Amino acid sequence: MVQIEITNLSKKIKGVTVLNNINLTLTGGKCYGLEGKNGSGKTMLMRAISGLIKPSKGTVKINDGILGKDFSFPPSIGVLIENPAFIDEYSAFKNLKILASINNKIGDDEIIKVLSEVGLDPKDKKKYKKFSLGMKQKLGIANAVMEKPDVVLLDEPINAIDSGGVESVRKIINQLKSEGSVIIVACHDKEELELLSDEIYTIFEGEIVGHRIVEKENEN
Amino acid sequence: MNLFKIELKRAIFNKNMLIALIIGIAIVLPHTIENFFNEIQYNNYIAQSGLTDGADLTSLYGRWFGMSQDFLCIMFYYILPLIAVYPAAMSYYKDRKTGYVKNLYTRFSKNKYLIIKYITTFISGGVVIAVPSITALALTSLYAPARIPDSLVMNSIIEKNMWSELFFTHPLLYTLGYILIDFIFGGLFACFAMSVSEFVKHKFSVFISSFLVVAALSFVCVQLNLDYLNPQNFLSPAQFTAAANGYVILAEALILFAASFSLFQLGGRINETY
Repeated sequence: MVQIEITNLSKKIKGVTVLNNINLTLTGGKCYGLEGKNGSGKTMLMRAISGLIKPSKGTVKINDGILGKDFSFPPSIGVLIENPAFIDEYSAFKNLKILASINNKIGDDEIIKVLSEVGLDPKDKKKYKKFSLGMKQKLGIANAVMEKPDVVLLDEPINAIDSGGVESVRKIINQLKSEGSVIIVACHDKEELELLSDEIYTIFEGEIVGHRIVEKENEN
Repeated sequence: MNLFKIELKRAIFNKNMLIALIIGIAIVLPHTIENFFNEIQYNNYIAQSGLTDGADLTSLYGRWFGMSQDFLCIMFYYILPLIAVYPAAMSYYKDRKTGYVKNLYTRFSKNKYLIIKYITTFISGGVVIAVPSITALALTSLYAPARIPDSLVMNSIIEKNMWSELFFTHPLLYTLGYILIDFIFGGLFACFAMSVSEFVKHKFSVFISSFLVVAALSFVCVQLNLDYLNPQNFLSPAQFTAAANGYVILAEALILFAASFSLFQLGGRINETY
């Protein structure tokens, strides 16, 4: 099962400390929530875990490999960080098919399945540029999870999504948890974050200032 | 290999490529049409005058757009860096700005991706320059005979010009060789602009970067009377104002390659993705 160990992670951008001495251990099969105000460092922490930014200090260890040393990006990761971005002229299916063809881990059937799971019609020929915000977000989630990666980072996944879509996101996260992935979710909706997460970390000005384990009623 | 195919397809089959090709072809087309009527007029004159020998003087290789020195031809080679940049060099800028690169970096080696992006952008820049030239050559071949040019008529290429011997012995090779040079420089201009996009935040600055470099070099060359160094001169098969020099062309291509490749790879590796 995948394990992420973050040790003394700090990040400075143009002299400003955006992450300060973060220490976390995240294990597979769990969903971790990140809460905090805008600009507190949630997205930046996700960027650091995904390898999109390099830490100024500290390390991110994924299983036995150190990010930035043994690999530039985690070997199996799916991300939705900030706004989803796809090719404007292509449909949802074609966009995912192109991205899936890079590693050939999944075929058309899996793409169709994941699109249906997030509530998008796989046969819809509508171009991405004509998608609503909610549809774009759903496609972003589908892209992040379609290859069943070991690490999934979802930044504000339920933004602009309807209630049916939110239910789908919960199901997908539970499915990924049962398959042993580490899921990290940042969300401004406190109630939703508690529903999605097993543990929640509070970030304030780039530091972890709180941690709590979420009691799940249905699991007791 | 999959990502190479994907990126090549994106670099070639896109709306910007279509626009750039339309502009390129729109520039070469009026000359080609006008030339067609000139050819008819010339043939009529030869027929009416009974000068059967004179008909041998015209040639496809002297008549096609690339050998012309009219306004549109000068303009084509002047704005060549802008046309080359438009289809693909801007796509990397857009991919970074929208965050699309995240989808790629999390699936594929970033270093390999940067090399693939460089190659596909190079091909795109080359194609968008070569296609109008080939179109002009193909259209002109519909009415002008593909015979060896006569040095009496085709006096813009003289002995001191680069490949002049080739032009009067194997003109097709001369023409294809020149289209290849333009292809290479089109590709390099596109790659140079893409490398600039690693460091410049404004889309328009990226778009005009290669053009500005060529315009600045051209200005210096004209001021110092060093026209053989001027890309706007040596990129034209007609070698407008001075005889081109193969070593100069090679050296400028290598400098452009070294600058664009190193800047792009360096920027791509250093820059973080937000």
